[in-house]
Order: sequence, then structure tokens, then C-alpha cells
Amino acid sequence: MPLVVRSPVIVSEPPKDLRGARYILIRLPSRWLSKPYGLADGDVISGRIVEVRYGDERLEGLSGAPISFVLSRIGGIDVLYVHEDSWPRLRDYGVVHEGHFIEVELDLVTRPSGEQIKLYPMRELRVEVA
Amino acid sequence: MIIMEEEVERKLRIADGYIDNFFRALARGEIDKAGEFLWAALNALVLALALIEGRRLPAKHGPIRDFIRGLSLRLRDDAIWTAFRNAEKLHANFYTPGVFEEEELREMCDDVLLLIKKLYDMVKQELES
Repeated sequence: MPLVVRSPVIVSEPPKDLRGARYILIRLPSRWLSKPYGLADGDVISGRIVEVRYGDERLEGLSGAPISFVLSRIGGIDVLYVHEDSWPRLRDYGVVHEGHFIEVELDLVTRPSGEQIKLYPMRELRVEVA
Repeated sequence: MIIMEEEVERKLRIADGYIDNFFRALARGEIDKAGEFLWAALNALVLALALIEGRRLPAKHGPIRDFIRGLSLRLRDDAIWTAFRNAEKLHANFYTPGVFEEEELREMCDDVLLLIKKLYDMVKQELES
């Protein structure tokens, strides 16, 4: 039972010390993710891609693919930078500029210590970001 | 003390709103607007940080600039001042667009966003101590 997030794709460089982060991000209010689970910068959030759209075009081949993000908190906003492991697939499909919308199911957090946390194991939550 | 904390929290919520608007504008490719939202967020955070230090700054360019310059010197962190100068350029660009190329503006936004994150962390640290 994951956290489903639909967000526009944004291009912005991550902080240099954010290990594994690439320059494509999505975001959501922290009340849905870092706040309830007490997460911190550098935690890796993983799940699957539901779909990626560019206007009316659905990018076939990306749905169902695994995806990970690196968390960076900016005030009350969780910024999720695409993890370097997920980057080649998105890059090869041309998800390298704004205008794309991505919907992902996020179900696992891996902390730098190796500790893992399941996200919303009892219920699915959906967040839509403009 | 409680009143000050409430006021600081209010400033933080205002900054959150501007940051969200920054990302919205960036997602729409409105880089000029995005830069101006960053400028506004930065101002709100400086006012919050000043309140924690017991100073109520007027929401004007000069005092905010002086505060940041002082902070940069006190912490011996030139990056603070450099990022603030970039924020000033973003602010100027909003009223006089076309001076900078998009890639330059994006680099400035990235730099200012790092400063904003740094200021959030400082405020949070102060509130927790």
C-alpha cells in the first residue's frame, strides 16, 4: 500500500553533498512523507513508476519500472531528486526537461544506516502536486 | 518568547508558500517568475532569522542586504553573500527581463535555493536549541 505521488518533473541541481542525487526532481508537501516518518536528507525513497506523460503522450516502456529518489527537505517541502540508479532509464526516454508529469508509487525508505521503512503499509495515500 | 516563535513560524510558512510557487513556476518554464519567488522566500527567511536574533528588520532591501552581509562575514561563508547577489540579480531580472540567458538564470536559482536551504536549517536549529 504505497504513497502515490503525481508531480511535474523539474530540472534543478541538487546540493553537492546529496549523495546519488541527479538533477531531475519531483516535490510534495513534507506532511505526506518526511514529517510522519521522521525522514532526513539523504534518505532514499523507492518504488515504481505508474506512468510518465508529456502532454497527451504517454511514454510507453516506463510504466512499472523501478525508481528511486534522494530526499532533500527545504522547509515544509520534500524535494525528491532522481537517484543515479534510476537516471539512465529516464534520460534515455528523454525525461530531461520540464513539461513531463510523472506518477510514482513509493513504498520503501532506505536510510544511510541501512535501516528500511515501509511507507503506508496499511493504506494507499495519493498526493497530486501542481 | 512564544510570541516570537509564532512570528518566526509564520514567516517560515510564508517562505514555504513562496518555495512551492517557485517550483510551480519552474515546472511551467516561467523562469523569471520562479526567480522572483525565490527572492521573496529569501526575504521571509532573513526576517525570521533576524527575529530569532531579537531584531525586527523592516522588510526592505537595504536592511536585508546588510543582515546577509553580516551573516556571511560572521560565519566566514562567502557562498552566502555570493548567493544573495545572485538573488538580487533574479529580483532585478523580474522587473527587467532579458538581461540574462535562461541557463544563467537557472544556475542562479540553483545557487539561491542552496542558500535558502541553509537559512531554513539555521532557523530550525535555533528554534530547537
